[in-house]
Amino acid sequence: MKDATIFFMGVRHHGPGSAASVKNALMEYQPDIVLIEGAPEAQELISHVLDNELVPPVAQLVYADDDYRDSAFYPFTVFSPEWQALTFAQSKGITAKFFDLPLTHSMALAREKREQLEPGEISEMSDELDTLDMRQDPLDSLASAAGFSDGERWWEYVVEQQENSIEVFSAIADAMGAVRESIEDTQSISYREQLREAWMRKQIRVAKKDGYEKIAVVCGAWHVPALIRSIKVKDDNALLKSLPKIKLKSTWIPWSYGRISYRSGYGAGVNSPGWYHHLWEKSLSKTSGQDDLVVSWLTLAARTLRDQGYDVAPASVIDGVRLVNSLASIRNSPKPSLDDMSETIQTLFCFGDQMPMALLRDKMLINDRLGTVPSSLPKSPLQQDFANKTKKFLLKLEAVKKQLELDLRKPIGLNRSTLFYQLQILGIKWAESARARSKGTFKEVWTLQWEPEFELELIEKSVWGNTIESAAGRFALDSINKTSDLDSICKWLDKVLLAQMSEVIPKAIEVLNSLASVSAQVEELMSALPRLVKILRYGDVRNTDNSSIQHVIDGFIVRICTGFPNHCRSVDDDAAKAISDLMIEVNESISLLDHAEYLDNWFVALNKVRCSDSVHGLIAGRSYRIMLNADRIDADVASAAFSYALSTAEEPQHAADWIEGLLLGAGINLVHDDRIWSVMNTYLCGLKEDRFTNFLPLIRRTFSSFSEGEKNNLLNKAKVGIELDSLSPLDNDLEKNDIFKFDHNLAKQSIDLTQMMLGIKV
Amino acid sequence: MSEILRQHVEQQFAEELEALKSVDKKRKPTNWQLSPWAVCEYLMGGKLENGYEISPKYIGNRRLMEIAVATMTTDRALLLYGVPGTAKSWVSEHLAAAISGDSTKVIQGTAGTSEESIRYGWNYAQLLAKGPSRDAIVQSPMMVSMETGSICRIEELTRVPSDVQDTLITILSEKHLPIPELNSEVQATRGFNVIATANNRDRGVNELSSALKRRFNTVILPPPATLEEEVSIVQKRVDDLGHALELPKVDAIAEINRVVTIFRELREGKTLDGKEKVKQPSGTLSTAEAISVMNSSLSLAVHFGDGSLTPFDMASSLIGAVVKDPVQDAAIWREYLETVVKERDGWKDIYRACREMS
Repeated sequence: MKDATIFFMGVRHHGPGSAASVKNALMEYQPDIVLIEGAPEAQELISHVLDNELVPPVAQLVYADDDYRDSAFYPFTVFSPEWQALTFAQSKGITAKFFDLPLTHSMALAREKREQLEPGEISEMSDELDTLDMRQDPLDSLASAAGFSDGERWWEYVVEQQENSIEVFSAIADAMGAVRESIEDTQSISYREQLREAWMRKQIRVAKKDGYEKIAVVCGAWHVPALIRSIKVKDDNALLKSLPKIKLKSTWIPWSYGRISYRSGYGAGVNSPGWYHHLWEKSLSKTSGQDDLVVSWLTLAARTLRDQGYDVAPASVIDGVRLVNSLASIRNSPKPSLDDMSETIQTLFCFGDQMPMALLRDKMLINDRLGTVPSSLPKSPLQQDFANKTKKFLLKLEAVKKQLELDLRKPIGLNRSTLFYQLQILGIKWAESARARSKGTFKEVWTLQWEPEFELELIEKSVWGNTIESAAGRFALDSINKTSDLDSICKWLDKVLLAQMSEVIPKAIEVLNSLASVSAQVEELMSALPRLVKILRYGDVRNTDNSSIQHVIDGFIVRICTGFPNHCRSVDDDAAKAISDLMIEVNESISLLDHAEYLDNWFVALNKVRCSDSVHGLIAGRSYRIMLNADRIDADVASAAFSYALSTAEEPQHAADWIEGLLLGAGINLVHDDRIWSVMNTYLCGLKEDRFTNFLPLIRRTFSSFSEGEKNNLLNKAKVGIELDSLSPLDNDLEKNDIFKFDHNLAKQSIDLTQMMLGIKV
Repeated sequence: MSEILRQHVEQQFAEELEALKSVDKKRKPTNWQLSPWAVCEYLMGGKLENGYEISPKYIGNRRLMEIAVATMTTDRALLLYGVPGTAKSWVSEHLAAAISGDSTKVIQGTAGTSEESIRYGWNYAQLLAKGPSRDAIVQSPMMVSMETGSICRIEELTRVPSDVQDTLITILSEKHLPIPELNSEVQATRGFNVIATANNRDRGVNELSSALKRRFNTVILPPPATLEEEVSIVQKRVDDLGHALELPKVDAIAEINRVVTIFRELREGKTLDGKEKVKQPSGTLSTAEAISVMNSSLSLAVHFGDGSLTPFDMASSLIGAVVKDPVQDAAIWREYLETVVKERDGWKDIYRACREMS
């Protein structure tokens, strides 16, 4: 083994055991070249590995300048075998070489495939991105043979937890060979996989030819059997003939443990990078024993829980260490596993409760460690563009919260605001809009606070484009294409308009239009309309062209007006509440547009609703209110409807709803608008006493929602009416003469004025 | 067959314990009858290397039992926690039987449990005749366990008044029981430990003080995770009990399946396929209750029927288990019958039986 010309080390991409084994094996084997699974495009990045400023977790980003979709990330952690191999080679001055299929080929192939697909169709991009993906976990079959529940657990037990000698790698190769044979019997290896393995074989041959005598190969365990196999040079070359190419660039970027974990959707991810980091650090200090690993992990857990407000006594840690060791011995494992410790923590620290374990998952198991990269490195184009823009618009990145007021009439204000909105679309929440004090639409207030993660977000969003504007545009387009409900499309439209992304707007409107015609959900249309109208009415500060919105609104209103009466039939209480609220908003929007045709349509629809018997009380009442307010209905008709709705035979619930629909939130209307007032007043005054008592709770329900001031005003207004009425029976002459001589309103005005002058009432 | 209605588990499973002892080569803690590994085997069941079959006592997650057993080897006592009918007492009984060979040292926790029943009482005749002496002391199971180095069980710990609960603190942390009247004490022998059970569904219980809580390792026993698991638990217990009650064996697996399905659906508030929402009745509907439903329907079938289990035998005890509140639960049960049971293929008979009864 030690003297072989080629030494294969099959690894899993992130694992402290593999990393330690690779490190030890390399020391022992003393290679003169190390071949590592990775893109040759990143070859020049190897020289940075020993740089003090390059601290894992970091990733290699390989990207095409011209198309955002062609990019790939290769994450490295301190416990990645590849990282250990790189540092070993660099510190010993040995050649290290990435020998995977160049991304220039695989990306060119992906691009060709994409171009063959219909435009607009979304290809399974994520598959192409994750070059480190280990397919379906081939370890699973080995694990189940050994009686483990899944591959990761088995690998953890066999490889990661043991102090392995150099021999382990031949054992892995053998085991993997068997697994691969059985898998290949049932399914074929993908074309891309074949290409990669052919290329790797070719590179090994090249290394031999170049005169290297001890070649160490570090690659995914899955590939080892294919690389050992003897395949004719001719066959490999035939496969690799005339592959397409594109131009690529590469750089190091900071990465985080959160993005190494499975939860982030990374194919070769691990469950608990935080735990692996801990294992790795402990394995470095040779003096510490197994107990130290357990003690330190449990202490860390206890401290983390304490920080979150859980009392964990130090005595519990002591008992915990004992329990962990007993558990490991009952389970016959050489060392306590993470599961043993997690179960102990749950039993002892959390009193059997599962909830606090979730806190530990983020803080400890995943860990929020961020990597750093040398500042001298080339940045990704999106980062570069961001840096340029902030410089140009005189913005500083500060960690302290700061408010910024923009005047949109000035170019710099508009530019800044646009940039903020574009960043928001990309999910970078550097600037949050705050409420402006003045009501003018040309002023915006933003709160700025820079967080280090934003840099990472920028890098992550690099896949969408090379400038902030284009990235935001593509990101928005993609999201818009994926959305299927009107409300979110409208939100997007709002954002896109604010961010001035003129090329996306037509597309958004197109999607909006097609969605609106397919889903005739009246309620969705109704909730979307006010936003659209707002854009149309107030969007002009930003000089955006919105004539196309007008067209969409036309369609919306027609659909709402035709569908509305039917939509109001047989709805339950919650839906009725939602609809009656929407009715007010829609009414305001339509009134705002002030278009005769719209208004006519709308009131025809409302008329139908109010006449229909099967409509929910809330909606019926609301229709009357809107129509009364707009003077579209006679007071007599309304009074009749009022008393009909409140007749004794009517269900009290329906009557109460009806009143609520009519009056809820209309306190101020009631005070100042005599139309509703008189309808109600006439009805109430005409009631017999016992009927009135029955009726009181219904109306009280709605009246109790009015504000104190509204109620006082209503009381005053009612008093005036009563005075009028109470005087009337005394003398008809008196009524005719004196009452009309005495003008209450006039008197009230002077009283009000006097009060104001005296400062009693403002 | 002995005349005893219910034997202690160490008598009932004496053969299995012996078989385990004979193969158990692993290290045993002092005064333990079996090694921790063998205790786990005893609880979870399995085939020994000599081919002897151990029946499973606990059906569920093995890791939970491993934690429970591992706890017994440490300084701390074990607290089994969970909703009623999750086999807490069952597990504690078997643990004590497997570890000490004796599951009889038990203190039943009630609101009236006094300090004497945890520590010691006085035999007043002796006390008057001879004055305070060891002879005049009435030992509690706890005291006996401490002296002999065995496991003491406390059932329903949270029902014990808080001040009485705290008597346990000295016993658990310092492992000795002072007897101030005699200026003496009992020091625990190795092998002594405490298993307590408590349920978290009851209202008005006395929560453990945090000082006491810290002396316990808490293992929460969950309700059975899957239908299959629950069916096999019910079946096993029904067979066991039927044996003890001298009922002839009746093949009831299909009916057990249906009863467990009904229980699970009502407990979780939705049908097993997750397609329909079901209102939840007020009862706990634990696995233990499913077992008792099956048992009483079996005895109905045996003593009053033709020996085969019919839906009519099940209906009354099923309704009794579900409908705890005569008004609300009855409505919920009726709704469940009409919307779920009636529609299900092959359930016509049980639907009709329940309809007639309710």
